[in-house]
Amino acid sequence: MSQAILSVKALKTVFRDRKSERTVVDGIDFEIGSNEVVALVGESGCGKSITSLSIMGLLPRSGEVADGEIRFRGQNLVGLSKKEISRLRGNKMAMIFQEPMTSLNPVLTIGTQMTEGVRRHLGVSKEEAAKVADDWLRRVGFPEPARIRREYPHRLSGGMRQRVMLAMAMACKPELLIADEPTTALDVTIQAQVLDLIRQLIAETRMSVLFITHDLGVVAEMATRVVVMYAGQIVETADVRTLFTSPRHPYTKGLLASTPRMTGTARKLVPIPGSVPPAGQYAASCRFADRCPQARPECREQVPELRDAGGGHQVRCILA
Amino acid sequence: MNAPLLEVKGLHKHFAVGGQWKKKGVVKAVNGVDLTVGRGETVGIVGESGCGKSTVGRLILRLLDLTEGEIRFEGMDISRLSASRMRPIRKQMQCVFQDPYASLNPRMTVGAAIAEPLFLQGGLSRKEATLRAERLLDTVGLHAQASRLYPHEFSGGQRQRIAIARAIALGPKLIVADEPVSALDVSIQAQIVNLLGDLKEKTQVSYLFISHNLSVVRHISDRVAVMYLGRIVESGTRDQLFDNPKHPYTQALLSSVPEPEVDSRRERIVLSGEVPNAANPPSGCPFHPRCPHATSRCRDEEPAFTEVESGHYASCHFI
Repeated sequence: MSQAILSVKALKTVFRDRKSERTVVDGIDFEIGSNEVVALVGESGCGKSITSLSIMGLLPRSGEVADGEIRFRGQNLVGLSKKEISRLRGNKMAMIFQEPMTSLNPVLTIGTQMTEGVRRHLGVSKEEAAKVADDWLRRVGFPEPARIRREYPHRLSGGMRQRVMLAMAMACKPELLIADEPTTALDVTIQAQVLDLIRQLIAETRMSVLFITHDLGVVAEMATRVVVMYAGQIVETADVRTLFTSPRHPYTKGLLASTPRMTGTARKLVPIPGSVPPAGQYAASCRFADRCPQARPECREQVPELRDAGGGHQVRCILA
Repeated sequence: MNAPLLEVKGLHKHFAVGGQWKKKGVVKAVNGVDLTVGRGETVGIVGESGCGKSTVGRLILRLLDLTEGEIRFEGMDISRLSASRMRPIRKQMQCVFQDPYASLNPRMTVGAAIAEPLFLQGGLSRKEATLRAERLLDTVGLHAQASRLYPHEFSGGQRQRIAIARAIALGPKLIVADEPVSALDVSIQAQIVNLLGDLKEKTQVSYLFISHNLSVVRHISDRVAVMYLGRIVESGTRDQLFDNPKHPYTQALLSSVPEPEVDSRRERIVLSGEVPNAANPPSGCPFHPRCPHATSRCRDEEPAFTEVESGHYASCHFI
């Protein structure tokens, strides 16, 4: 009996249109334990957001989980009916996105939107739902929750909206929170406030978090374990300390070397040459080989496996 | 003759807001900014959304008309020049923006887009301009064959290279770069930051580098100015500002940036509240409602922008 809250096995998500089929997530395996914060990092198009949408059952119509398992507390979510998955979603698993304005209904007040979810999942009266909403709004830093409940989303700033989203997500006490770039659109001082708040909520509720981001600074700050994705695959996974102090995959090393720092000497950045291959169009070789400074002929002849490097550290590279 | 390349004094830009339905008011987007950029120097302007940093860039490029103040380019006051008198000066001042796709004509090949200014302003024939365009593409790290392709055939990083090729086509002395790497992934961002650095070494061009990304600004700038609510609250050399910030806002801003490090945790200053509305700015020091050290003096009295060490200025009562 594993203790994982979420376990993803050999997840494969494809997008189809009339002409073609593209495998955007290609065999992802990872687990999230109780009170663990797993960061999914990678650049645009690596499949990190599609992985999270697959878990939540929120893929657009052209996308589909073609293979693999997504187990939440042991129950496989793949193949569940819409009704069954929506009972879990917002209840046991909640999600917050980069741009809260797109997830909030502009013509309903914050209060209406918050209490709707609470009443549906907790089955309580309107009055009790309002109490739950107020409680969570207070906990995310609104001293006058009743006033915020009467507001419409456009009246709030970006940082306030993200805190409202957090309150909504937390209202049903989820066991798993999926946060997809929750602070990317925010200014840095507001980002610091929201990250602080998320950390505090993790400590208080002991929930597990899947944190999706492209920002290695945010990863270092929030995660207990890190999964690095490139071109639809996991290329490296390790606990946060190991990943930052002894990364093994050339892509992870490249990401770290190309990130400018706030401290130390402002050395010249070492960029990764070339650009990310278009989603779903991958060669049957190491997908990073074309940009890899260490690539050898054999890298282009085989698809490297995700190997165990000991201590929960996994690397997909024949040279590492 | 030793005038700095760009000298900005007392720059103001006020926008009228409201009107028929709402109370009329004025937003002081830029509220008294002084700035100089020397030859071959990179000056960074940092600040959060709405601080006025992009407006400063647009005013300097004369894409917006200023309300008050003076902009001197090579000693000449250009702040109120007519469009036709500005034309020869535009050769010397170019710009690069965040979204290169929005600044490239989708129906023009990139070769033609880069050749256009060479033909119109540079006095080259179409044929010469096209050849020069190919050389410029090579300079920014693209193949000369790329000149026959259209913008949509390139990735974001490549498009930014094209926008840079066009900006340097006429050999400008100043490039105003407004968030040029903000839309790019970090591995590509580093490519563009390095390209800008190489071009500066080669051509001695100056940059006014406007960005919200503090670590990128630290990498590229010689001097840095921090803006808050339309004003510069601190400025100094890169090292003065990043290693020894004086203004409480700068201190909080720098400490808020998450570093990709697991050891060496820095002390974080988390500010309360949000940036006030520029249409209704606070009295006294504009930062006082969020400042952890604010006293009643800060509420009543506007601090002066004073020199704290050679070349390092900040506006705070307590420095």
